[in-house]
Amino acid sequence: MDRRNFLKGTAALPLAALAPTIGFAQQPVFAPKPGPWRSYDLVTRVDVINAIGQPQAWIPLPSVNEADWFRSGDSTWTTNAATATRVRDPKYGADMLHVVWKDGEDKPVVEVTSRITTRDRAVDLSKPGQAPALSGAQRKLYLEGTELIPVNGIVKETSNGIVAGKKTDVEKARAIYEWVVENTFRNAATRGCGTGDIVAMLKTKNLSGKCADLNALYVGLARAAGLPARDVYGLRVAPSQFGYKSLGAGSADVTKAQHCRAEVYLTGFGWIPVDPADVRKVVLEEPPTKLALDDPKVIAARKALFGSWEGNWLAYNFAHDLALPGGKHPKLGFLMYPQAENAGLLLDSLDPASVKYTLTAKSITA
Amino acid sequence: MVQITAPACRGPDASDSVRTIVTGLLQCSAGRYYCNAIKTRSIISLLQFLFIASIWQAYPANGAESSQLAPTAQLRPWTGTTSATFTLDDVGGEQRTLESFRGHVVLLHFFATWCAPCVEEFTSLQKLTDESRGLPITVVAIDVAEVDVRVRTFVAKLGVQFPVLLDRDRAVTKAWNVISLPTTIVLDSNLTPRFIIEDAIDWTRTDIRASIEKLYQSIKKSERTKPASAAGICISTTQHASLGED
Repeated sequence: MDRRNFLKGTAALPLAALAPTIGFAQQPVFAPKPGPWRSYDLVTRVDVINAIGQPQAWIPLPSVNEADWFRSGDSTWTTNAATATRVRDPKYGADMLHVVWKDGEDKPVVEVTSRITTRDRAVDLSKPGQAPALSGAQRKLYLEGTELIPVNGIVKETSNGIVAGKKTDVEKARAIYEWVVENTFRNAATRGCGTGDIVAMLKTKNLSGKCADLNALYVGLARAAGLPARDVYGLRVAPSQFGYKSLGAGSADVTKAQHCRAEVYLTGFGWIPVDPADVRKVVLEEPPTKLALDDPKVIAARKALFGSWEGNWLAYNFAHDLALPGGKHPKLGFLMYPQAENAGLLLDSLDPASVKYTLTAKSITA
Repeated sequence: MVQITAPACRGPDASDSVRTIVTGLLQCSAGRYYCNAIKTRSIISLLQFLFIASIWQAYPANGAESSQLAPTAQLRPWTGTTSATFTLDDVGGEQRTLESFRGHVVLLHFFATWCAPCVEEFTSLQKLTDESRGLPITVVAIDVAEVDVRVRTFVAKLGVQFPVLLDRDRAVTKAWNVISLPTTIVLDSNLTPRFIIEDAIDWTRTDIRASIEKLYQSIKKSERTKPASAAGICISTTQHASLGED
């Protein structure tokens, strides 16, 4: 938009300025609570275009199982590949389907159907419960740094500043959440979900990005404060039942609906859902868009997204720094998109010209 | 009645709205009878002015896209301690070492295709390369952690003539302590870092050119070798047309 085109549109300003007051006669509600379980089938189809040599593909499979809110069901597939093998990342337990086509396969294709069951989630943070303690190994895993989420240097310094004076783990976890909400912003121009390079974000003071950036920042700051935390990489599969357009899938086609959330472990409470990135998404995208932090819709989402989240989303895994089996590629920062290799080259998952894939979600009624 | 008249060939500008407000307030102080009406009009004008002024700052003038290059950013003297050597694949699949550029002033340029200012700066670096033919200056671009196919497409689209290397696992980027993109480190002919800039600039700017020229003027003419850029990779647009565009 240039100035001239913009000025043409300013005639409508007086009416537009009134719109927010007309549209919000009722206070918005965003209050997920554990309720009925809902099942979905996710169909992932990958086509390798202009196949050369022996193409390969790696399709993330839902591999999160949490008794309170998520069950990964069976995954089945059809393909013209020579081999299709379910592979588990040894460190984080992330599952993927590794598919290899034979040389000369004209139109390599694989279609995977995954069943998941999920529901809304909320944790009462007013008093500790009887949540089981993390094992030593789990605690170590979710406190250590990753390639893009180190927990020392500027991450540690920033975290120390945020939690200074906070006495309890709940206070620390909340302080970090509020800091991320206050200091970051969603950048619509960020490719995909971002890269999650939190040191670059902090050093350059450019705290913009999308979920893989903003929630990774939360995870890094929490780990640096001594709170086990983890990213949960996944996909929105249904609209928000609270009417938030920005927090749900717009249709059954969820090809571009990838979204990662975060969790922080608090002794006595267990894993707590947090999603500061979605607060910033509401700010930027919820109609009429570009909302202020004191907009009632933002306030409602901000209050809820520390301690609860809506079960309209599929969780793939918690993994970082994954090697793709059978490939000679650098480790991935995370596995949330289908990956494919053609002529020995890893294809760009965000470029439909090099690898074509679709994801379709369907609600299953019992 | 205060009238806002838009001059021909341009939209109403800030001075029109300022005039409206000032005139309104002066009239207000001159007589009470019209004061409320004038005050209201003045407040409306003030709001209009503030709103339009904020948008005026946010959007470029029609037909004049704003440059993403920092107009006054300067090369800073290198104070780092790292000067790591490396071997990386270029986008053509050939292995390249930093050592192979010894004897040239090297602009070690770290970038990514998703970085909007990097695109404009690439054009500027290509222009510098074009204007420096026969001189011991080489631009060596290093893409940070993107898939090869995407970088190839980017290079082909821009018709880049200087070497573009692939730091697939960020190892070289980390070794050089690069934390933001674009970053360019200027090395002298002994591959000693001399300057750094963590911003996108126009590399054909006179002051920037002068800083670079000082470095290669110190190289004895007899020591000058064929510019490394002449041996650099060049991916033609047609060669990778099948990769498509974003």
